[in-house]
Amino acid sequence: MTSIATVLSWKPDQLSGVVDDLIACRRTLVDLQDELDAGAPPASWISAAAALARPAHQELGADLADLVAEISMVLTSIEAESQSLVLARRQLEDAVEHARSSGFTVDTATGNVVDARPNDELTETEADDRQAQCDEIVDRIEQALRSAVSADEELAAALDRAATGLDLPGSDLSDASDAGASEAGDDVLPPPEGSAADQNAWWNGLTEAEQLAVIADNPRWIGNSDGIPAWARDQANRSLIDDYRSELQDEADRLQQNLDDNLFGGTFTNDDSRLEDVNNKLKALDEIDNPGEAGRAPALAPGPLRGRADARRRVQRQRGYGRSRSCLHPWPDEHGPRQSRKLRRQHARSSGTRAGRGRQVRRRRLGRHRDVARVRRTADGE
Amino acid sequence: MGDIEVVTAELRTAASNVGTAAESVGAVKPGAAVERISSALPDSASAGKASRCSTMWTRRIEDWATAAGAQKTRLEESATNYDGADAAAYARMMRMMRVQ
Repeated sequence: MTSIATVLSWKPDQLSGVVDDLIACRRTLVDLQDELDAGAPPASWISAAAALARPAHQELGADLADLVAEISMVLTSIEAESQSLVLARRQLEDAVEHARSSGFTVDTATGNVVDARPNDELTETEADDRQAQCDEIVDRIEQALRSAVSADEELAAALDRAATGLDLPGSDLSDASDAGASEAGDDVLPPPEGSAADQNAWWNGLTEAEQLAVIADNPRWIGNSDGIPAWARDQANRSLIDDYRSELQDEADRLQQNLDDNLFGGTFTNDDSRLEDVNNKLKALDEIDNPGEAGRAPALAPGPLRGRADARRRVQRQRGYGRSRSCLHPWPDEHGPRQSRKLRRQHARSSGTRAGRGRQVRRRRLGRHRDVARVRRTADGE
Repeated sequence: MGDIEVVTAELRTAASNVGTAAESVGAVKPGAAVERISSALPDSASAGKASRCSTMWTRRIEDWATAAGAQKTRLEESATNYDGADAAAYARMMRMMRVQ
């Protein structure tokens, strides 16, 4: 179990020195390609001894290539994960500092978050606000720990693979260097189940490169998530336009087929109205993709994303315009904006549901991630 | 005799290159670099794996340098044997020519 104190004791900025040394090692080894080639037993040498020397030389080349690949994989992984670790550690520091400045104590060994203010003096509304504040702090701490643990595990996996030994084909040292770098896993964990705050914390725990990778490679993760900034959701949804159109077209074809096959058309079914609905959505997508034809000025540059470079350009452009633009929801009727936790709580309180009795549940243990320190929410110091 | 001269020269060149590679690889210390992860990330999952990786790399580099050194020796010995055999054959032929 990784505690807050443990992560705060990490010094990920020191990893840059490790990367530099490994780069130097790799360069030295890759530069030996000429010596290795010139060290091959000459082709003019034909004898029983030569038959033994040739496979021995090939084995030397293959072993050295594997070592180069392993070094390359590890240093690539360190480069990637150290950024995540720096970010996660900073977020953890900020969350703990924010908690303390807000009157909460954070036990960095156990993860307990306790409201230091006396609960007796609080009104019900104030107590609810304190509970919400406590929840937010716990979310931030939890997400920072999750990010740190994830980066640590990724790095540990790369080191473990290197220690076990890669066995890649070929003996060209430069190729091995490239192959090793591509072996380094830079997978981003999907967003956690939970509130918008959880997802926002997850998003903020990603490096910029990881955010762009999510937009380009996994846009569905964020397209309809409240906790994700509008500019990112907009980009993700735009990159999904082709997919949406294809799905809608399939649905339109299916409904049309039903209507054609039905002697009574749509009289006894609602296929005709559903088809109209689907066709309207297709038109809406066309307007997004071809705003000139639809006679509307584009709110944002349209068109699906074509890889991370495109994503980066658009993100930079949009950041320049500002982040307050509304994001694109191709299917607003099916995936309408979700309420924030605060709104849900207010609604629940007014409707007398269980969530509205949050104040009565003052103490809760969390442990959504098995490796993350369990954090106790104790707004009233129970 | 011409063929033998070419082969031994090439063998010695190959041996020299393998020897250079063995020395260069032996001087590389990626294990020491990766070991520093343990102090940068104490009590982390990476720390334990870094130590193991460091040990394995250090051992494999030593093994590689040793194997390359042995290959160099084999190539040099082969060249020496060829030279020795050639010299002996030359001496035998000279004796035979004198007898004739």
